[in-house]
Amino acid sequence: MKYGLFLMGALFCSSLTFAQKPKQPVHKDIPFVQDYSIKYYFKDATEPLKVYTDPNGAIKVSTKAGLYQLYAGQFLYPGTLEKDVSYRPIADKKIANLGLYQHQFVMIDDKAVLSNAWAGKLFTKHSLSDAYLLAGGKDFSFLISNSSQLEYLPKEGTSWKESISNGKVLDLKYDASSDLFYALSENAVYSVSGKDKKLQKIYSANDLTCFELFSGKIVVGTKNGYLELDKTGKVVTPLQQKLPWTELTCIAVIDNQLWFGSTLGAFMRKPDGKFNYYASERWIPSDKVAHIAKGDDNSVLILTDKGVGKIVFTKMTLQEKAEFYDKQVRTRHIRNGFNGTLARMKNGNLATGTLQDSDNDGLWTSMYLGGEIFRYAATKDPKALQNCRESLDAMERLYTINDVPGFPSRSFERTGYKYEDKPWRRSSDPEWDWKSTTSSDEVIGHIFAFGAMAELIEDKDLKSRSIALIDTLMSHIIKNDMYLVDWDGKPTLWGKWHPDYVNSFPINVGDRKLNSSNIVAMLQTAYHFTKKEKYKTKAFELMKKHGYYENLMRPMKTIGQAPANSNDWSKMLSGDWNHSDDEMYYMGYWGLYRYAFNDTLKANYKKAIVDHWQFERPEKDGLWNILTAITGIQDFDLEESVWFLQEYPLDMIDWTVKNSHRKDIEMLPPNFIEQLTKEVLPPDEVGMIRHNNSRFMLDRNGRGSSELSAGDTWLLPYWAGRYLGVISGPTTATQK
Amino acid sequence: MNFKKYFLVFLSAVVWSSMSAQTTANTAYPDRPFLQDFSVKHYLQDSSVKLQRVFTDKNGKVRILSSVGILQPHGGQFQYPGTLRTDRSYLPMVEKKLVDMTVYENQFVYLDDKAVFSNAWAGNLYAKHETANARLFCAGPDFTFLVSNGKNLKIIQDAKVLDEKMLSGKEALDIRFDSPNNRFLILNNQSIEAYSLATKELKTVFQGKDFTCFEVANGKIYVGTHNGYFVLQADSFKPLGEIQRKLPSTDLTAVAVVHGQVWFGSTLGAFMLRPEGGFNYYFGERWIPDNRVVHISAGEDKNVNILTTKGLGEIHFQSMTLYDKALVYEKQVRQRHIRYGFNCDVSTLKHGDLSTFEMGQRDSDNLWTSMYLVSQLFRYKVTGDKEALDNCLESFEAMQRLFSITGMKGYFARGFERRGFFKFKPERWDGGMTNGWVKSSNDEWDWRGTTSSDQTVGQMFALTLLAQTMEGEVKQKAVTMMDQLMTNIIENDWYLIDFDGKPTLWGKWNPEYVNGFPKNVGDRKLYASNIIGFLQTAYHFTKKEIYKQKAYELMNKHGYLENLLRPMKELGQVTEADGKLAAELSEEWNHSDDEMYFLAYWCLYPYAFTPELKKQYAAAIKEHWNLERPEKNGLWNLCYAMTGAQEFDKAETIWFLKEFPLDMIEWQVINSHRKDIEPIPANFRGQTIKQVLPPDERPELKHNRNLFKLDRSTNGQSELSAGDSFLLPYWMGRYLKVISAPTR
Repeated sequence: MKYGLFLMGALFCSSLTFAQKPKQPVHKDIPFVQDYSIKYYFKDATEPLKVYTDPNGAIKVSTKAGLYQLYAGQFLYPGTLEKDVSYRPIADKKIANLGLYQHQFVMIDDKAVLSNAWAGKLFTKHSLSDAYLLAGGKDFSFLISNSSQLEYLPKEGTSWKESISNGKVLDLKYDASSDLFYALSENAVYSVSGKDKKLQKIYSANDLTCFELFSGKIVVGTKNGYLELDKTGKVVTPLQQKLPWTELTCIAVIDNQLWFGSTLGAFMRKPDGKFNYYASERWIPSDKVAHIAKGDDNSVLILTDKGVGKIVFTKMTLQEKAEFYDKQVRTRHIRNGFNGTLARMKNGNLATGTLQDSDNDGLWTSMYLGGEIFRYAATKDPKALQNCRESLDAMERLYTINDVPGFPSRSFERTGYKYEDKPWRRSSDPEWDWKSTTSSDEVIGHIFAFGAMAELIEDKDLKSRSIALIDTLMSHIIKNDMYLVDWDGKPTLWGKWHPDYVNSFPINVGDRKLNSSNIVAMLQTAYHFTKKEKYKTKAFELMKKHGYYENLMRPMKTIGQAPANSNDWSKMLSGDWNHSDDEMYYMGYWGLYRYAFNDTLKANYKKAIVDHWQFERPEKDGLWNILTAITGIQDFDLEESVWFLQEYPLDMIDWTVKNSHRKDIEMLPPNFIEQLTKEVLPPDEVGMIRHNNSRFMLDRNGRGSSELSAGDTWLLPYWAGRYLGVISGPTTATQK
Repeated sequence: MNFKKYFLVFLSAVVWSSMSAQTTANTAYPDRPFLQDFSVKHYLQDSSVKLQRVFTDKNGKVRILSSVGILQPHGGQFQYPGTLRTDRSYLPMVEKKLVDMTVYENQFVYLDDKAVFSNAWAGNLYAKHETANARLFCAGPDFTFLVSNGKNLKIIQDAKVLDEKMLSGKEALDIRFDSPNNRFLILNNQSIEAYSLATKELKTVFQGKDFTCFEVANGKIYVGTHNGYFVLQADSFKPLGEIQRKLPSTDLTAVAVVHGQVWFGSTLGAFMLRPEGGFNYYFGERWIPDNRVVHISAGEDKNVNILTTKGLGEIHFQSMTLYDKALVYEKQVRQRHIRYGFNCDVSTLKHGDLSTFEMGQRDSDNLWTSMYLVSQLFRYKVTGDKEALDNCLESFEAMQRLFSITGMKGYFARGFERRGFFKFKPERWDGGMTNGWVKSSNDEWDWRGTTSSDQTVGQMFALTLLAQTMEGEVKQKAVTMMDQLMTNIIENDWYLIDFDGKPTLWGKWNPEYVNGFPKNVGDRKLYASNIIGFLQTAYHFTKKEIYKQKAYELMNKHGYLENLLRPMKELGQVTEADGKLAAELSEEWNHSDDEMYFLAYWCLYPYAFTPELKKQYAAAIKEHWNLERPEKNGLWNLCYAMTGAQEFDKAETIWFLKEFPLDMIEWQVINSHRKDIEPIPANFRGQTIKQVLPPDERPELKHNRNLFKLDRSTNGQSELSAGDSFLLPYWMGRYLKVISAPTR
C-alpha cells in the first residue's frame, strides 16, 4: 500500500518536471544525548574502593588510603584526586569505606558506621576488626563485613554476628521490598535477615566477583560473565558471556540501566541487549574498573585503579556538536591554513602537541574546505566564508611555492625543518621549503574543493581563484600527457592517469577503475567551469578510445585480488581493500556526477556510485552515505549516517583502543573488504581514524600521541548533509 | 477539596498582605540578564620568565609572548587556575627569536630578529626588516608595518623598505597606528612623535614627562604616565581636560580600549573607566595572578585579557540573571559549606586552593545557619523547589540538635563536633573555660556552650520564619522549640544558663544587666529590642499569656520600650567613667549588633501586640535603617522593606546583589592607596570613605563586618559561604516580591 503510493508519487513528480527530484528523507536535528568524559587521576598509586555522589553533587572516593575528592578537571583537561580534608575529624579517622544511605554519604571506620548527614547523629558502633563493607537497611540498621564475618547493627539494641566460610565476603546489598540483606562471597550468595538473625545460603558457584539487585532479580557477576537469580537463589538467566569483557568486577543500576565494570573497561546494557562500551583513556583513566555509581548532573562515575572517569551525558543538536568541533579545528588544527593533526603529544596532553605536516595536507584541507563551503552554502555564515578564504590561501600557495606550473606541492613549511627528508625541496623564497612527490589523492581532493567552491561560493575573488586553480592543474596534466610531472621532470609515483599506466592493471585491480573514474571527474569539472574544449575532448577520448568509461562503470564486485599471473605492482596494490581509494572515489563523485557531460552519462554514473556504495554500507560511514545522496537516491542510509555523526566522540585524541577481546561481537571469516565483524562498532568505541581507514579496525595503539582534526572526519559529512538538505538545521537550541 | 486549599492560600495571602500591604504596592525589580564578571586565571610556572603581551585571535585562541617564546593557557576554570605552557603547536615558532606580537585583521602577527611574519594568510606574510635589535612594531594599512629598535623606525611593506627615520633620541616605548589620520604614533617617556604615511614626515607632536603607555581609539589618544593619565584629541593633539589622577592607582603600565571601554593597567591592579564615570577596580587574586599589569587586550566574546607578571587573568563578562547567580552560589554552598547541616560561613583554604578546603565549628554556627536556613525557606516558598525544602530541613535538623545535644531543656549549644578534635585546653574564651567546649552525654560528641545573644537571635529568626510559613510537623517543632527556649530564659530570670550553672557572657536580658548600661551604649537598646521581639513571637505562636505579660513588664516597668525606641543617633562613644564593659562595647559601631537588630525585626515588627506599638517600631526601624544607608547593604534594606516601606533603596539593593563577587575566596584586597575614593574623618561608625565600594572590590562581604573596611592583607586563607551573605538577601527579595523571577 505504502509502497504503491510512494512509487506513484515519484512517477508523477518526474513527469511534471524533470528537475524536480524525488524527495529525500530529512533528519530533523532534535537534541540527542552526547556523552563525553572528564577524567581525574590519582597522583599516587592507591587501591580504590568506592565512588559516590551525595544530593549536593559532592563526589567522594574511598580508597585503602582514606577519602579523596575530585579537583579541577574539565573535558580534555584532566583533574586530580585530592585527599578530602573537608571535615577534619573525619580526615583524622581511619575511614575504611564509603557508602550511600538515603542518598547521603555514610562511612565505616574501625569503630562505627557514621555520617555527617542527619546533623551527624548516625554513629553506630560495631565490633568487627578491619570491617570495610557496609549496606544500610531499614531504619538506620546496617549490615557490615570484614570479608570473613558479617555483623548486623540495628539502630538501637544488640548487634548480631555470623562467620562466612565460603570464601571472602565481597559485597553487601539491601533489598527494601523484602527487608533482607544479601551478602556475596567468592563462592556463594546469602540472604541475611537482620530482624530474624538468620543467614541463609541461597546460591553456590565458583569465581563470583560482584552483584547487584535489579528489577526483582539478583544479578551476579563472575570472572567469566554474569547470571541472574531470583530472590530465592534460583537461576533465572543462565551465565551471559556475550559481553565486551567477561571478567567482571562490579555491577551497578543507574537510572534503571545495568552497568558493568570489568578488568577491561565498563559497559552499559542497552534496552536492545547490546552494550555501550567505555574503555580506554578516551573514557576512563584505566581499564581496571573498581566501582560504578551515579554522578552529579546526569553523569556516571567510573572508578578505576588510576582514577575516576566521569561520563557526562548532555543534550545537544548536531549543529551544536558542529560548533564544538569548529572550535576544536580553529584553535588546535590550523597550520598555515591547512587542516592538520596535532601530533607528538604526550599521553593526550594538549599542551604538548605539535601540528604536523602531512603528505596529504592538500587532501585533508580540501575536505575541511569542502565542509566549510557546504556550511557557507547552507548558512551564509561569514565565519565559514572566512575559513574558506584562509584554507584557499593555503591551497593556492601549494601551487605558487614551487616553480613548476600547475603542479601542487604536497605541503610547505618554514625552512630548516625538513632538510633530511628527500621529497622536501628548497623554495625560491629562502624562508620556505615545499614537499614534492604529490599524489593522485591530493589532486582529486583539490578538484573536489575547487569545484565545490566554484559552484557554491558567490564571492567573485574566491570563485575565480578556484576556477583558475582547476584550470592550471588540469592543464598541467593534459600538457604532460596525463601525468603529474614533478620538479625533476618525472611523473610522481601516483600521479598517473595515462592509459599506458591505467590499463596496464588487470580489470579486477582497483586502480584501473579508480584512476579512470577520477580523471573523468576532473576533466568534467575543468570543462564545466572553464568551458575549454580540450578537457571535454580528452575526457571522451579516454572514455571511448581507452575504455575509461568501461573501467569506471565496472561493478565493484569484480574488484579483488590481482590474479596470480599479474605483475607485482598490481599484486601489491590489490592485496586488500583500499579505503584510501574509497575516499578518492567519493571525492571524485562530486565532479563525476554533478558535472557529467550529459544526462545519460549522469544516470549511468549514478549506477556506478550506488553500486560502490552498496559495498560501503556495512561501514556506516556517514561521509560515503551522504555523498551518495548527491545522486538523489532516496535510500542512502540516512539513519546510519546520523548514527555515525551522533556517535562520533567529542574527544578526538588517538588513544589506545582495544576491541579484539570482545565477546559481544560476531567475527566474520577473513574477506577482501576486511570486514572483521558482522556489525560495525560505533565511532566512539573504536580507534580514532580518518575516512581512509577501515571502520572495522578493532584495535589501535594510539597511545594518546595525537589529536585528529574534526575538519575532514566530521564537519565534512555533517555540512554536506546540511547543504544537501538531508539534515535539517537545529530545531531547538539546547538549554545549557 | 481544591476549594479549601485555595481558600487557605487566599486567607494566608490576605493575612500576609495585611501585614505588609505596602510591600506589594512596590513594583518588583525585573530580573533581566546583566553582565556578571568573574576571572579565569592561568599562572606562570617558572618565575624567571618575563611575560610581555597577550592577544586573542579570531578563533578565540589566546597566546602570550614571553621571554621564552609563545605560551598558551592550559586547563584553567573559574576558581580552578590553570597554567601557562609553552605553545609547541608550530614547531618553527619554538625556535624563533620573537620580540613582539600583535593582532592584525584578528590574526596573530609576530616580530622576530629578522622579519614581520604570521602563520595566517597561508604564511604568505614574511616581511624582512633588516633592523638590528628590532623590538617593537605596529601594523598599518595594507600590510604596512612600522618596525623599530627604539632608536629609529622603518616602514616596510611586502619585502620592501618604504622609509627609514631616526627617532628623536628617547627610547621608543610603544607604537600605535592612528587610522583616520593615516599616521603612526610613537611614544617615548617624554614625547609623542608622529610619522605620516602620506608625507613621510616624522615630527614630535606632544611633549611632557613620565609617559609609560598609550592607546589610540575613537579619535582620542590616551596617554598613561607614572602619575595618572591624560587624553589628547588625535587629530590636533590638543589636551582634552586635565591629567586624571583620581584613579585606583596612578602609576600606569598599560592602557587599552577593549570592547569599547577604556582599561588601565598599573603597578597595583587594573581598572576600567565606567561610562558614567568612576572605575571598576580589578585588584588581587580575586581577579588577576599579580597586581603588576603588563598588558591588556580584548579576549574572546566579551572577555578582557589582563596579563600580569605572574600570569594571565581572563575577566569574563557573562550574561546572567540574579537567579542564575543565586544558583551558582547554591552550588558553592552545598559543595563546600555544609557541615552536619550547618552553614559553615568560613571554610579555610591554603592560598585559595579549593582542594584544601576545610570546614569547622564556628562561633556563630546558629546565626549563619539560621540565615541560610531562612534563605532556603524563602526559596522554597517562592519556587516550590523540593531541593530548597530539603536544604532548609537539613539545616533545621542541625539547629534542633543544638538543643538536644546539651541535655538541658530550652538551652542550645553554640556548636558541636566529634569528640577528640578539641583538646579542652584550659583557655579562657568568651567568659568560659576551654573555649566553652564540654563533653556530651553521647561519648562520641563534644558540644560548645557560652551560647550568646547572637545565637539566640539566630534561633529565633529561623524559628519565627519556620513557624510563620510552614505547616504541620515542622511548624509544630518550631513553635515547641521557641516555647522551650523562651520558657528557659524566663525561668532563669532573663539569663541563658550554661552547663556550669552560670549565665553565659552575652546571654543576658535581665533589666539589671540591660539597664546597667548608660543610655548611649548600644547594648541597652539592642537587648531590649531583641527580647521584646522574641516574647511577641512566642506569644503569637503559643498564645501563652506569660509572654505577653512579661513583655509588657519589661517594656513598661523596666523601660525596655523606651530603650528599644531610643534613636540610634543618641548612641555613641562611651568613656571609662561609664564602666569598663560599656566602654569596651561601644568603642566603635558594632556591625554584629546591626545583624542582630535587623534579623530580630522579623520578630519585633510583624508580631507587635498593638497597632500603636507597630507604628512606633516602624519608626525605630526606619531610623536605624537611615543610619545604615551608606553601607548599601541589601540585607538591611530588605529587612526594612519587610515593614512595608516604599523607599528602601531598592536600586542600591540590586546593585549590592549584582556587584557581589562570584569568587567568595577571601583574597588579599587593598584599597587604602586608591586616589579615586574620598576619605572622611575618623568617626564612630568606622565609615572610612564617602561612598561604599562595591562588594567585588572590597575585602568585606559578611553582614556583620564593616563594609567600609578598605584592606585585607591575608590572601586566600578562606572561602566565605554565600548562604548567609548573598542567598539570604536574594531570596528575601524574591519572597518580599521586590525582585521578580528571572525574565529573559
